[in-house]
Amino acid sequence: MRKFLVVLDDSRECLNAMRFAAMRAAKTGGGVEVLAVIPPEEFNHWIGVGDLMREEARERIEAHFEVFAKWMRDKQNVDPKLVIREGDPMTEILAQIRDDSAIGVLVLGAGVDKKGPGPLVTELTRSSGSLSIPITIVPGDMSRERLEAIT
Amino acid sequence: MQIYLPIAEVSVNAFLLLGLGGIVGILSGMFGVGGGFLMTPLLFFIGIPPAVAVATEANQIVASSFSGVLAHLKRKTVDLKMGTVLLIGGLVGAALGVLLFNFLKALGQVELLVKLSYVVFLGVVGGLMFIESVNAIRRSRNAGAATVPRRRQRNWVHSLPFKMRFRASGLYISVIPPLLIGLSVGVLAAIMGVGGGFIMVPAMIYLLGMPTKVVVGTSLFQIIFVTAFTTMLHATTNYTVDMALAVLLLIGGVIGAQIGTRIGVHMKAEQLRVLLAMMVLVVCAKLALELLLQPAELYSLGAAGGH
Repeated sequence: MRKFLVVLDDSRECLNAMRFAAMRAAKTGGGVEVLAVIPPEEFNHWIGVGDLMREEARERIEAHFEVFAKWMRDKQNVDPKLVIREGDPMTEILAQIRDDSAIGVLVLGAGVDKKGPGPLVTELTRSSGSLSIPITIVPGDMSRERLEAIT
Repeated sequence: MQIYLPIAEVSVNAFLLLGLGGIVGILSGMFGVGGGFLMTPLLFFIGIPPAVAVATEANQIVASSFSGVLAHLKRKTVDLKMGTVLLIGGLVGAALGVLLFNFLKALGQVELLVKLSYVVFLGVVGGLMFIESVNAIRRSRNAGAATVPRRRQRNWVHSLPFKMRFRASGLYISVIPPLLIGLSVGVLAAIMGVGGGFIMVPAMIYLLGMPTKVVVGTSLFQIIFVTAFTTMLHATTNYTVDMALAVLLLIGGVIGAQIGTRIGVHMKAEQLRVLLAMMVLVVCAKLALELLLQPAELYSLGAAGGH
């Protein structure tokens, strides 16, 4: 089964990426894999504190994921899978694509900000030539109806 | 290249200072620890008077924490209200600390105070780091599922008066504990020239019950203002902030931190933490020995003053 990989973070644009991936997966009989990356913490003086920070980050991600997962299950009949990795977002996304050969498309949301589409889109499009799968970039302010129409 | 440090009144090799800044920068970037508690004792060892080392290091922390605070403000991971409460405590603490510092300076005992505080703190901090990292290594060898101990949801902090709502942290607690935490960190900043994140962060998590997401940003927010205030107080009352020293250490530190962060990303530094902890303990032991052993020169002319 071909899977769509979506990156979950705190940005607003990841919402549209999530929608698009779920709708496409529903239409084409694919799956959705949601990747969340916990960035390395800059405060690491105490290992215990670091562990607690990662634990809380994980809980936050799971709660956040549940919101999307529920919608996907109820509305799109797609059961998404959550993958949590730790490290630099760019490297971990590439590693996840490499590790899971069932991933067919990477779906990213582009920010509507004037400063650019966001660090992930900028970085990944720059290296998009060397990726093993295509990237789909979903504009952050596309309306839901429009998304539904094109998927 | 020997340069004369005008305030410290010693001449040292400029490259030695750059190198020292660089090494401490690398260590702090690699392990994610604050550099202050490592740098100040190293400055004692190369002959910088403790009073100058402390005041100058406080100054350096302001500069090296600044970009961190900006990043956290942008990501909205600073609880400004909690930060302000901690800051009020911190400013009072810093003022008290500088008062104590000046009082002992007048008595000619400030060196002893600073060095003793360092012996105690490095001993405790180094010891705890050592135990923690040994445990971590043992755990990774056994490869057992590491369980993170849950913190207690309610403790004595919740039964104190003067409650205040901290929305960003999702807390409704008394202002007394954050004020006291801020105060003790302020005293430490004034006497030891450290930011105090290594005490404040665990205190905020375990005592106040703040969510870890906002802890680092909030502590940095408090630290830059408290260390800036400390620097001002030291500069205006003791005249012990050496700009030349600060600039050289800062240049080395900024470059070192960049390198250190890169190294830290590429390898799990867990194993090396034991070495860091041991280094802290060695520094502690050397300071303690210097205090206990009979010095080569029994009498020293110096900034004792006041006689």
